[in-house]
Amino acid sequence: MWWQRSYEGEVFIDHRASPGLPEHIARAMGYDPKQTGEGRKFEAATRMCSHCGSRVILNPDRSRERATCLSCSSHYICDACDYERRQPDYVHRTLRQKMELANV
Amino acid sequence: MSKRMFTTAISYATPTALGAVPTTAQFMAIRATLTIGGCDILEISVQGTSTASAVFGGCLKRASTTSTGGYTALANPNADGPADPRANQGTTAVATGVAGVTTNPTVSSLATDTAIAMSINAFGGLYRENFAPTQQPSVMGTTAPYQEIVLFNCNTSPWGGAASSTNTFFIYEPY
Repeated sequence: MWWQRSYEGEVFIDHRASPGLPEHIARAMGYDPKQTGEGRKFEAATRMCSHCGSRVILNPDRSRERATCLSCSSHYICDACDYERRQPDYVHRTLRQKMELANV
Repeated sequence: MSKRMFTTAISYATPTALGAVPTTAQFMAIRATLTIGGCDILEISVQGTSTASAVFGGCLKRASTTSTGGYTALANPNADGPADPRANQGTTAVATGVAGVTTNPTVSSLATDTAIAMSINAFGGLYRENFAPTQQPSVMGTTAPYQEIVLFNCNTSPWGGAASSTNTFFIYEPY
């Protein structure tokens, strides 16, 4: 049976037995310092945007809905691509189609 | 094809900046060796083994200039072998190493090349990433930057790497 979570990866950062990342480095890396500090564990799912290929670490505390694209068999798309597809001159192209256009 | 495990225990005494060449035996790299062929990296695990608090600025980045002369053979405690002892396919498609015979790879500083950040505090910290299907970093072909990918201790901001030690393994699948 297929479900959205079949396409999830996982990132796991464990500082339960460690002083943890310094706050300035944690912030610079995009983490909440509370999740990577001393004695803390950060665990989150990751997804790939089917429009741009970005790897997205899903914020486990987010309550807003996440976008999927019906033209891509309901695969996940990131917030930036979700915004882009709502523009009036938008042309739908999957990552593979973009790569073919760019001859990659 | 068969999954393989590439394991290292490295003391990263000299952190490296993006765009520079890591010190011998202070990086781990996978490179494709055939025009058609390569591998997907499926999982990475980094276990900090430093004896005092120090940031390991783990960075997985493509090589803008690939290593030359191949790699020197891995020696204990570093290792690379099939996960399933019955399987041995695909091993000629990639090579793994921690030292180039002639030169080490130059890690790319281009924003257009893949970079994955995995900084931890190497004093007891642990990082593990299991890549989602279709999300795996890959190497393929015989042309930079897609031929070789390098994990090293990066001191460029925001990685913030300092002298530290880790045990690391990749689970990868040649094809």
